[in-house]
Amino acid sequence: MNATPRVVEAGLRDFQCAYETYVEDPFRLGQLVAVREGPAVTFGVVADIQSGAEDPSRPLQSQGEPGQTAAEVMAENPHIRPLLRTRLIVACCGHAEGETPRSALPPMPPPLLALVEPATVAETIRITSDGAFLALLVDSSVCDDAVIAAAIRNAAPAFAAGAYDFSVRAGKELARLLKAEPSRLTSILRGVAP
Amino acid sequence: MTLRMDQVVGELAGFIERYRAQLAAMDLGLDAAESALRVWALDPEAGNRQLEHAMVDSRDPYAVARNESPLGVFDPPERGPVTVIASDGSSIEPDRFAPVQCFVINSGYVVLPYGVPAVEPRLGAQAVLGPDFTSSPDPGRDDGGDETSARGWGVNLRRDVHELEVGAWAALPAAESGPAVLLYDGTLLPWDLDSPEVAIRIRAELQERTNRALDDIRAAGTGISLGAYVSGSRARDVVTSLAALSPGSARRWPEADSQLMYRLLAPNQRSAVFEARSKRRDRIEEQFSSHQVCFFYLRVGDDIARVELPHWATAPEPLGRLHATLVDQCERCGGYPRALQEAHEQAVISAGDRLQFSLLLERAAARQGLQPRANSKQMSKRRRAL
Repeated sequence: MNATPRVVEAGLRDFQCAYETYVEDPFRLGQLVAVREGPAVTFGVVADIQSGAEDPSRPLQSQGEPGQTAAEVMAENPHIRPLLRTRLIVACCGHAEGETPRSALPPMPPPLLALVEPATVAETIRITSDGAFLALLVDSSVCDDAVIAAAIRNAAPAFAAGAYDFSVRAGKELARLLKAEPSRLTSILRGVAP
Repeated sequence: MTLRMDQVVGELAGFIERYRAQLAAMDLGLDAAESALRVWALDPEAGNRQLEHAMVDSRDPYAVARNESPLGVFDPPERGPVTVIASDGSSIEPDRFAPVQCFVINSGYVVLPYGVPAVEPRLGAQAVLGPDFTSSPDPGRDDGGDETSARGWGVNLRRDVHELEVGAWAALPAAESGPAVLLYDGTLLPWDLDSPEVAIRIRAELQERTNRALDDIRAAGTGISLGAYVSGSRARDVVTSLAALSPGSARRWPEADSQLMYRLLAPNQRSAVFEARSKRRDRIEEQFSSHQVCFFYLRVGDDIARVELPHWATAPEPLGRLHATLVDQCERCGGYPRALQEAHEQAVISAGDRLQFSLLLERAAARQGLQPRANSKQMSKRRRAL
């Protein structure tokens, strides 16, 4: 079973990817991911995660004996897991043509069925360090405050000892972007705080 | 609304009253059938000999008692760890308006382990496109259908055989990891094998493939149980036998074995295993002498299902496993085996898929200079505008 999701719907500002089946440990909310196929490497932030029945006409029914765990119910009903899928929505926040990543929309959508992988630590630092990627997230229709906060929280460990400085830079960038929306700024900063 | 309800609703009350009168008459027939079954159970061998005589010159299928009393009813044994495999098929029939006539067969399959950790659950489908234009047809060579026309291709028959093969393909590796039950939907043997509409060369080829698939399953030994499941069966082999064992009876016999079995079986019980027999000429079973069809009835809720299996699968161990598994599978899926339901879901070719295939076929044909024949009826059906 391939536990790496693939792009199933693609646009310039966001794309959807899906695992082959249901996974309990998909990419996390706000995680920076990369699509390394096509003319440009596309970077994005996980904005939503949905698991459920692949066929909308056959919704998953609640089942199982009282006290049974999900794993036990799945083992009792082995047909269920192969019929489930986990899908992610990813907000695009950068791309790289050649060696230099830019915090700008990719020139074209990532290829359909391309593999979606976690961004490396080096890629994360290069895409997020100046906070410019936040402008795309703030404007994205698939990103709410919780996604932006999660993106900052997830990127910070890549900076190791510089994590605090990165968070401050990101906060300042958000303050600049959201100077007309103080309540939204507060909401995001509360989400970033440890 | 296109159905004029006013033209039929007024007749409903009388219609139902007449049906109730029929039910009352049927009770008398059921009494007679049950009595005949009790007499048969006193000496099954003598009854079987009587049936052998009755079969001569009859085209009807009969039921012959085997090792179990024909009156026997059996509770399911405890179900142990088992892998349930099932397959089911669907098809796209040749479209006479298409630029190239062809068919598609799609056989869905499932492999569902219950308490067998070595087996991964799998659901999938295998599709084939036909016919195989690389082999040369034999038009009009025999009294069978014309292989050069789509009618003679025997799509239904090919689908039945493909289902059988796909089921065996999925089941045999799973059976190496522990007890397995292989389920098919419908009768065990593909009945279109004697259809005069299907070209005889195709029938011969498919007969060989059917035999090969059954041989492969048999070779896997008693670790694998096999059953072909007919929900809501209308077969009447047992009733035919009972009528033959009661010559001169003027009773109106039940229309189907299921009516009698509903009276005899409690939920989850199965009947005795009978052997399906007939003396009619050119019968399908004669082409599969090493896979003589047997059957039993299973009560699941209010449904009486007929379960067909080859004689070599009637040993107590695989039979008990089949019975227990079917009861468990039906409990999981509202009275129908879960594995068959899921195999069906895998096999289904949706209206959207059919349309998409049709368009892909048209495009592929057009790239090679073949255009669909313009047909006003077809075009009108596609348009449907007022």
